[in-house]
Amino acid sequence: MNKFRTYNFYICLLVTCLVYLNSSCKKNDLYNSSVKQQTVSKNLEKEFFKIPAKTSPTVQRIITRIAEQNNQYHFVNDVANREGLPVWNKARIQLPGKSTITSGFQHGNSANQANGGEDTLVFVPLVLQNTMFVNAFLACAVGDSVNIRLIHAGDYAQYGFNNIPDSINADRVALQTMLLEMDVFGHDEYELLDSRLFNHVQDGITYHPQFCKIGSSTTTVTPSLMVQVTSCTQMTISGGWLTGCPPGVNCNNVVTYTVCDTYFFFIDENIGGGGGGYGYPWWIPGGAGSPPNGGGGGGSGTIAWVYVPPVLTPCQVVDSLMNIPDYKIFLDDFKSKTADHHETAIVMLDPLINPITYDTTTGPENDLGVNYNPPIPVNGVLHNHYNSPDRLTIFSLDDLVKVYLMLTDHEIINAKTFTLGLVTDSSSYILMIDSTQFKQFGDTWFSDSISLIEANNIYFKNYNIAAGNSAALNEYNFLKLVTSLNMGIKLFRGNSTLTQFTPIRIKDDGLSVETATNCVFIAP
Amino acid sequence: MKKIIIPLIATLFTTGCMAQLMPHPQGSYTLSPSLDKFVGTWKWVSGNDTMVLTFLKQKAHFRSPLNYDVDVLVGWHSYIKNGTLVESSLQYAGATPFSWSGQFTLLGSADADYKVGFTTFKDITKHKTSSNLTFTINKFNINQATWVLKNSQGMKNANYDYGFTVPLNMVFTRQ
Repeated sequence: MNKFRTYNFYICLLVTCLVYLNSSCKKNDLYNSSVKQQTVSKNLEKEFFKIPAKTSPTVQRIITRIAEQNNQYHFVNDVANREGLPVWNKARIQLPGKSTITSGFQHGNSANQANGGEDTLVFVPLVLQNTMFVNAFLACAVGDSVNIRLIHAGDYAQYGFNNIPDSINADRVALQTMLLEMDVFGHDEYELLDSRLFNHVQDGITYHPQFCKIGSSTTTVTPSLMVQVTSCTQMTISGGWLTGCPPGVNCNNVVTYTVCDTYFFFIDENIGGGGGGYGYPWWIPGGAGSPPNGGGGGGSGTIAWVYVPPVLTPCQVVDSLMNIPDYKIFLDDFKSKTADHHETAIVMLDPLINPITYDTTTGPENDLGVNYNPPIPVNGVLHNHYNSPDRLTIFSLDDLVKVYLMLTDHEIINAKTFTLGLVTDSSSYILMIDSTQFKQFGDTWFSDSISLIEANNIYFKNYNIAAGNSAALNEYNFLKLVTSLNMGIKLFRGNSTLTQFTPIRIKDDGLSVETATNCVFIAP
Repeated sequence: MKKIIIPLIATLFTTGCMAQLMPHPQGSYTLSPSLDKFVGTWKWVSGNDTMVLTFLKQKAHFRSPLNYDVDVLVGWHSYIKNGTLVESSLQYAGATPFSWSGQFTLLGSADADYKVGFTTFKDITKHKTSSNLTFTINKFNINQATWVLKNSQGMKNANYDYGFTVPLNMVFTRQ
């Protein structure tokens, strides 16, 4: 009996430890990202085969097939670590069409090919943990059998920059990756870092686009082992991005460019033997007997397109935040945590994407501070000031200094959409910055210890931002300071239910606070 | 004539708006007589530990766009622990007129008649500054004052040291 109790105790202890470890991992998602990802190879097999609810039967067949292959080759963990985890519920499923194959690689299972038109083509995005881009994808033909091909996005160049109709080329790999990334992360605008991508000749001029936007696309697929894909994707961008004008710039040189071509995805298992440098049972570029270039290990190239976040006004950013369920949960949680005896902060990778990837940190007990340095650039911070009699109902000077340091230390992904949130027992605010103006202000007042002394005096004494003040007075004084020192700060005040944040500014007469109509913050 | 008048009106309007936002008029000098009672030397003793403060009232100029002068309480301190001098800035006390780059270790102004809030206390040993220190004279015994030191409120870097070299709570006696 005693032995049984002891046994039970150890089981309970083990379970408790596992639960604790699991919760710790979740808390530290963000911090795990850059540091450990490259050095520690995690066992991600379970994650790989985690099937979201309502996964289509076609995708489930792919998963089953990979599981069978993995039993033999034990490669899935390696794929997950090197290429990423599949986002099964964002797979692009293209149902069979009626067209017949007119050309393509003469390779593979001829019996299946003879069935022409029966296969469904599925593209499954692979995303490395704690990243926000598609690193690779699986191109799968699902018919009588399931055939899978791994395509590493960074290897796009290996496919060549030709325009041979019946082959995969660099543009097509890039485009397919972008389409999947649009589905997974909503990314539809990219900066192109390789001038060979999406070159386009119009009126005798060759354009080397620097930016592109994925427009609407229509795709018809004629599947088999040689899957014919006719894809028309609008790459046309207003503002002339194809001629090199960055997003948000009013550029008159507009070029319309629509990618519309027919090509073939050759999807087959490892009939040619080998799997490049990985030893996967899937055909990958560089593998034995595989076109186009042969040799090499695959999976090592660098992706030459980066997501360009849309240009949102500060009001659009804050309105969007209010539609992010996680953000609302955090706001409510932080409100309740003002009853604690310490401050709490979360740094968020991108608060505009739900679920939010974040990490939490708490300050020391009975001290009005919280300290952190995000290991990778982030785009949002939310924190509270707990119910101490000494707490401020508005951002402290150290809060502003911290944002300045984050800006100058490149810890902010995009200053135009970065938000700093504050929740206290009697107020809540979201702060945004105009990066140029705020940096100029910070360079003047925060960049050395002498200026900081003067800034502290101005903040707490001249403008009387103090713990004993009402929230309304601190807000008024803060906005007076923001305006008179031209700080480049935009302030949004939250309502009592934390469901709406309204842009506020000092009134023209300087005597009170008003709503900033049309998102204009500085009094004229 | 119109060309001259329009810019002139615009300038006056802008100045008028800014005046509402400034805590003191540009070019003004705001006196603070309530600071006089803090001026002098104060001492705290506990066993072999001693802390000495010296305060002076000085005129501080705030740069553009503020451009005004305000009285501030400037201070220097020394701290002896177990009979050994740990840190001191007393050698700089009153050496020069006020400058933001001066060697003072305390800078504050009146929060109330008997209370000074310091926006700067320099912990020399830890190379850190706090803007959260109050020094309050006992109204019923104006030769005694209470020192309460805390960390500045706000977000800080990960390696921030929350400790202080000097005690957080002390009662000083005027010398």
